Amino acid sequence: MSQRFRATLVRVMAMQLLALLVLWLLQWRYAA
Amino acid sequence: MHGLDWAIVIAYLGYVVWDGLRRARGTVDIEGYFMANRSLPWWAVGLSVMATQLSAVTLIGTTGQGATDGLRFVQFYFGLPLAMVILGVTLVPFLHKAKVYTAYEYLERRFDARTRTLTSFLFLLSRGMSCGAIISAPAVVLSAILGVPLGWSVAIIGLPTVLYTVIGGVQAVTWADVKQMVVIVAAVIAMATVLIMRLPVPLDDALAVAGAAGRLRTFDFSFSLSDPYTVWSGLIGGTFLMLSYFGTDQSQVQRYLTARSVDEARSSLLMSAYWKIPLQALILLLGVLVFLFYVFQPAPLYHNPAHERAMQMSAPATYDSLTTAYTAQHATRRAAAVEIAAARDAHDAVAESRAIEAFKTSEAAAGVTRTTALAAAGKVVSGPTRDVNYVIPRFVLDHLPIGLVGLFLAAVLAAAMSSVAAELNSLSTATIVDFYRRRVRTDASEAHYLTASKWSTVFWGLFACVVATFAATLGSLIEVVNRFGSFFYGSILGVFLLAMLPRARGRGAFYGLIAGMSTVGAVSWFAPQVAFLWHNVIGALAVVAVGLAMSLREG
Repeated sequence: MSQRFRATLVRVMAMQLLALLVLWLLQWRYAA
Repeated sequence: MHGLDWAIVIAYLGYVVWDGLRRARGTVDIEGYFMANRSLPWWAVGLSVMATQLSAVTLIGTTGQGATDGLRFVQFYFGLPLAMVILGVTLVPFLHKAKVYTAYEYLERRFDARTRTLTSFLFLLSRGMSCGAIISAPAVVLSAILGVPLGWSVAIIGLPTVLYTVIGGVQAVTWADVKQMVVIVAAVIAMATVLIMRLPVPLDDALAVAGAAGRLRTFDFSFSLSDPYTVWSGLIGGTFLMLSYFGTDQSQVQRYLTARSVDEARSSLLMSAYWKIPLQALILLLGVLVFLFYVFQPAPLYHNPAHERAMQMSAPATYDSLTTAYTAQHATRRAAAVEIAAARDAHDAVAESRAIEAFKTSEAAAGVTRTTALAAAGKVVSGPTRDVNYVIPRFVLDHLPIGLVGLFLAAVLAAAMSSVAAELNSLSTATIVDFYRRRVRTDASEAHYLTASKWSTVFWGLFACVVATFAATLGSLIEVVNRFGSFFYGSILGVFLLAMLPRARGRGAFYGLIAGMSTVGAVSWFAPQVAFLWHNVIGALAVVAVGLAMSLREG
């Protein structure tokens, strides 16, 4: 696995966590 | 629609076609026509992957789903990033290094010719029909909303797409996809901005109203085989579905086979993994904003103008009584929403929870009236009455400013065209590479294959347009083919999984594929409550189990 692929992978996973966190916050604050 | 909006749509169509024709220069063989000489940059391929997946139904249907059902549909895509990573590590290097044109060509090298032929044939059968459905779904909506004949809207979507795909090949498809993705994202952001600016209460209060209506509930951790929108079905079933789609469907595989290198092909998939969930959430959120718009502004009882007209003509008394009831319920709901905002501003928790209860009651009553109204419409019109696909187009035409209407229409056309172009290009590739060059004319010149490829694209384009025009009549046939398609989607993934196992043999792969399809068919028949997302898991596992067992027996 190349260095570039690993770096991209980390960015992808970070973005997914951020997106899920935002959706979770919306649910927690407004739809609980 | 205003002249400026038509001008924007015509300018968009003209530019896409002109740019596509420009890309035809220098294409002298099928390596250039179908693979762009494997020279495209990762970001263009990545945008093409995303544009291909994002069809017009996704754009108008998903926003409509956001308006009527909220954000929970995003769970469907939870498996996508995982699938992209798995494919980036496993299948992409295999296919790219094998220098194949189609995913099925690889199966002949690994197993045998009949496995290749069967998988490629199944792809042609299902994608040929679904390509017509991809055109017909938005064409039906545009035809009803704009009041133009269905044939016209099919032609507006289909003919420019066929033209640039036939002449420019994969280069035109990919670079058009890049521009189409820009148009789609620009339209979604512009619409969201306008909707937020038009809210009569602060965004924080408006979101509280959406929350009270259940529109901001994303995560559902319950485990149910019958509900396709839970965290588990999205993560497990969704991963298998996305592995099947991005790993074994030629319309997607061909996108990343055009990348310059294995690394660039992987990056293109990871780009889609990076943006898919945020983009899908944004599209759903746009739907939630439209729901909020209609909380504070008069809302139509019917989103499909055809239903409204039919009811006014055939059952005016029912129409009037339903409209009166809906208007009253809407007014109560609006008052409760304003009360929620006021209570929040006054930090009065008791008044807020009282207002939320009142809002929920009137929202439920309005929902019942809408269901009754749609059932009444079902008695006077033929065909399905579900109008979720009409929510956004109707809102756009009724309420968006001049210019934005044209941008939205261009985005719907872009979403449809990008998916159709990729399908046509891949259908033609499979036809020529897996059948014509493999079985009919094995030793012709490159010029001959290039001409045949163009004619093959013309054939599939016209076939898709004809299917789209007669989709209403062919409705049940298309449904049968789509249902049949769901039988083998996961099963083809199973064959590719088998290909990764050193002990697997050709006989096991072929009969494993048939066993997988039969298993999914049996599950679909005897346990119809099992959601389609699980069919992919069942099919893939059945193929691997049967295929491996047969291969091990063979030794």
